[in-house]
Amino acid sequence: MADPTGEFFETLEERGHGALPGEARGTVRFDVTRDTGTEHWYVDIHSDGISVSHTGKDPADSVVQTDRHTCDLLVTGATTIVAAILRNRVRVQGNLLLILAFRQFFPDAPSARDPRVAGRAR
Amino acid sequence: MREAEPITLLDGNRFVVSDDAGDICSSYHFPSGLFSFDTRFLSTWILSINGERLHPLSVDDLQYFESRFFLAPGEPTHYIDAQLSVIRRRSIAGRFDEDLTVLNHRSEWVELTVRIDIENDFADFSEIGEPVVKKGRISVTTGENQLRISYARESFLRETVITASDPVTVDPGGMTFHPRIAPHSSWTGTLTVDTLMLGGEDRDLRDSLSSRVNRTKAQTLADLDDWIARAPQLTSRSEALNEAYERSVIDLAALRYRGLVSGEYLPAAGLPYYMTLFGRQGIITCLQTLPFLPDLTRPTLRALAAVQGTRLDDFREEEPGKILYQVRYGESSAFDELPHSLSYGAADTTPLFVVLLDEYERWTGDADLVRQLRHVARRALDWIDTYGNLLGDGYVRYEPRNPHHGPVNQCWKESPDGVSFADGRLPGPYRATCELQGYAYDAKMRGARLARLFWGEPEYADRLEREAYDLKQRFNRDFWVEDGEYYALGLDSNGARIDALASNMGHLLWSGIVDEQRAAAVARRLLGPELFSGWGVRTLAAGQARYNPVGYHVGSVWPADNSLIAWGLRRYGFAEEAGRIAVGMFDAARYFNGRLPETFGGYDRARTSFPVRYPSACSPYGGSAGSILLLMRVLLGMEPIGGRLTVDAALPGAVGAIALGGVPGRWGYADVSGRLSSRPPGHRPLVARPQDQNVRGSNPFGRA
Repeated sequence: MADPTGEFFETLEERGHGALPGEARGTVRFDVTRDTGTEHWYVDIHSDGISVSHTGKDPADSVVQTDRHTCDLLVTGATTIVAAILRNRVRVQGNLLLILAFRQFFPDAPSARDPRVAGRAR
Repeated sequence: MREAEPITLLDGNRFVVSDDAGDICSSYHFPSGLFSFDTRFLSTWILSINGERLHPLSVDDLQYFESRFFLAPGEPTHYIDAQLSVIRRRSIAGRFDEDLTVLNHRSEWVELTVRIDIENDFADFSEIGEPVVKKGRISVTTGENQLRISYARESFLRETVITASDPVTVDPGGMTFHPRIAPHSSWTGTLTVDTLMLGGEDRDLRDSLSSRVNRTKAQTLADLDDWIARAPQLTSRSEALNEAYERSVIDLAALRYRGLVSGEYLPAAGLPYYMTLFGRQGIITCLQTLPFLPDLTRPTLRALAAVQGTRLDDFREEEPGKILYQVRYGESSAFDELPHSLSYGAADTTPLFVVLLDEYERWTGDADLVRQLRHVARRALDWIDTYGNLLGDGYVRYEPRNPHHGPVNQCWKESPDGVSFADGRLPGPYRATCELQGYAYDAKMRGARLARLFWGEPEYADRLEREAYDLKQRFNRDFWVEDGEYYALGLDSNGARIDALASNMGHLLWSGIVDEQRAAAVARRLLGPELFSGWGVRTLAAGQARYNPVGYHVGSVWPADNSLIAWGLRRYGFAEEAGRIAVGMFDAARYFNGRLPETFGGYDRARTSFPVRYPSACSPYGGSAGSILLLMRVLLGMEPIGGRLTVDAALPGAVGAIALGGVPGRWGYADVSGRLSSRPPGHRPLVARPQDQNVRGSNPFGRA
């Protein structure tokens, strides 16, 4: 069965290498509720890149709690974390700036186009 | 129903709009109700005594967040029973509180039925003015002295909780007190209304975001006093200016709200339609107010940086590096029905962000923030040349990617007819309006300064300056309308000039992209009879096909627009022309009790003799309050140069001498005074020197 959430976190280190630089540093813990229980992903954002693991230092700087379905939507770019917070599908604690910085790792929206392609192809 | 001016109280993005008796009856015409975070929390709130509505005797506006209504039973056409009167005192500082005091003027006991009808529809801001059809379920729970109206749509929960101080009979449609009042005595009952955005475990979702601070009224008052105390003190004989300055400083305090990210104060754009952070309006308000109230800018820069675009998303019109268009917190955003949980449909916010960051450093010397935001600013500068440069011709253009919700025009004149040819035709897609190029030029010039002084990137700085120089050359070739002696409003995708004569070119002066030898012609057109109404510069010149004096972006006069134009005129040495705009705005403000609305009619001043109200204009409006402050800066010629505040006053006779005590900045606090100017119009100092007082002291913004 397809597991976008699992794939996202398992390949995050690789994609996070040379990620956009910024000021945000720290650990974000994702608590993802599945039918089988709650899965934890610790994402440590540091100056060289990011490290991802199932265990980590608590308390994390930021905590993101969500369900599997919503997390799948987030990691496929189908919704955004801010909208999901507003509709209470994602609950966050701690440093929200870090969570906003994490947005850079979510992919483009499905079927999003580079606006320059359409313009320059006229 | 009575036709009366609505009474508005606000405290950040929480506000209440009622009639002049304090009653709230849902209306399509003007949004009435109690609102917070883009959601209505009360749609009906009607007071009656013994079944009769009350009639207003007078309204006492105590503060922007507090009002007192003096009422008597009966409709105005009825006999007014002077045996009874009511004082309804309402505050929305921190939360909605209402004290109802009923005075018995008789010499005998009375038993009364005092009732408040209460309903709520939980309308999203986008549903105001339309029939509200909710997808979720509203439920009402009655408890002891408490009424709870809840809205649930999946996990989205909003709740209004009304609590009474006195014993009260609660039913699903309201609350009823039964006071018994002694002769010549009174009774007071208190109602409080809490507005909840519920997250997990019945906690408010703002609790975990450290952004929910329920201030008391006393704290709100103390905070206002502090805000006023930190603003420079104005000394002036112009009553128009005094009143407008006082009103504007207070309105700017009133419009601050705590966003979800940092809990710091952000400027909401305007009441009632834009009670949230807009990138464009927020940046402009900060630019206007920096010399007076710099505390607004740092949190705004930080908030905009935190939500900078990172990915491609057509629905939100997001691109990497792009700066926010608007954020909304209501249901339509939460469920992605509208893109505004964070939306990016604006082509000007990204360069303007860099402009503000540089201006902020020049005033405050806060180099730390400039270093912290280096990557954000570089991504914004990159956006200008990548996603902003839509056709690859080196001009910033826009084209909505969300056909349903993206503004057709992604510049400040965003209404569908806001950009047109002189003959009224609307241009095709990929429009490059002129002011966008000015902002891009200014962003590159200012970005170069930041790169050289703070980022240790001299080559990058050189590159930005070369690009800016090249843009200026091309711009002056491509946008200039030779036979009319003005800059075209824009270029269409074929490079044809969108030749309407409009106010936008005033912004070009502010950005510095105008060739020196053309500046006089631009100033002449801006102050000419087609554009200048006598109060200010019209958005679109009289005589253009789409001109309409009460058209939102096609003829009305915007104070915020005018303040930027005056700033530009002054930059190019047209002090007298800038002064005429300032005087027009100060005079206009008198007709609005010092509170310039978002926009007003573009009729000739000679024709109407007073500024004509624009229907449904926002008021207070941050950019209009800010315009009074920026115009004072322009008249005084205040510039932070080389770490010092320099002053080069050019005051019109109608304003007279003005002085500002305690102008904050990297110099500490400076006292500034301006005498009447005796200089001929058009004079331009080659070197700006500190002429008046210039005080150095400790920098209140930390180390430089």
